Amino acid sequence: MIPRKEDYLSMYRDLHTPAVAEVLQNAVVGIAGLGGLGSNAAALLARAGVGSLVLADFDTVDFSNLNRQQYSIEDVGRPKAQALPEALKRVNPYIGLQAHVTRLTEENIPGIFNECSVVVEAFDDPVAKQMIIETVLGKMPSAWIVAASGLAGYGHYEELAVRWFDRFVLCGDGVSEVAPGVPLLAPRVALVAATEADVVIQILMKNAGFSA
Amino acid sequence: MIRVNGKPMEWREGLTFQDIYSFLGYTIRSPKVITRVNNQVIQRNERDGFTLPDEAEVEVVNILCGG
Repeated sequence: MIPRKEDYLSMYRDLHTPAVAEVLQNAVVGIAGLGGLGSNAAALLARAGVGSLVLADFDTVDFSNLNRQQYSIEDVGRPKAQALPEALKRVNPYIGLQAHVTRLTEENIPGIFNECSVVVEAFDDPVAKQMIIETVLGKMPSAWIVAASGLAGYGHYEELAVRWFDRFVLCGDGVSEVAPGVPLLAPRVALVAATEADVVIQILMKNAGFSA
Repeated sequence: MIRVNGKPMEWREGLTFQDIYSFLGYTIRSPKVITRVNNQVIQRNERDGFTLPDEAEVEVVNILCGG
């Protein structure tokens, strides 16, 4: 039997305490890119009780994505922005989801993420990463951008860091680029995705007047 | 004198981002970076022709592939 919406709300209030549950329930968070970073960050934020997510990715699920992304064999060939909402709804059927099968550009980012107080940068390509960071900072005057740089390989946990700038937070070690012997592996990608999700929660709580 | 990622760098009239990149050891002309000068983001299309003022606090944040 599927729990009712009220059951979810009271579960989150009981487990997370009312203040945290309410801030997360009222939040709208954008996820730009639904690969290793984005699918994992979205799964964690959905589970944590974030009320609404805006998801965007132009790509379809490839067999090779199963090494680190939140998809299953039956999703292969489907747009990520269609497959991920179904996975998230299996965790919380009442989460608000807007999903866009589209390539994000300087032009469409401010409109697509219009309602979001925080956008998670979850691209692979550094040109696209640079573009969305600058677009959010330049064209969305009150939104935060949480980005990642340096997450390939394994180990070096002590080098993973979070750097805070104005409305811009960068997660990762800043040096681990994909290279021979330094592939993208599920644990370290998920670790940085989880860091991005945690930073989102910090921003939401801080914006609501709570300190960490 | 300016500071680049916390390191002191000698200032001169007309100092550009290309000089900053060389100082940091970049060998390409357009590295994928986010740049801030005195806490203001300087977007990639604003960097050509931007000259750094003396005493500037410059941050160059490397954006790497992977996600």
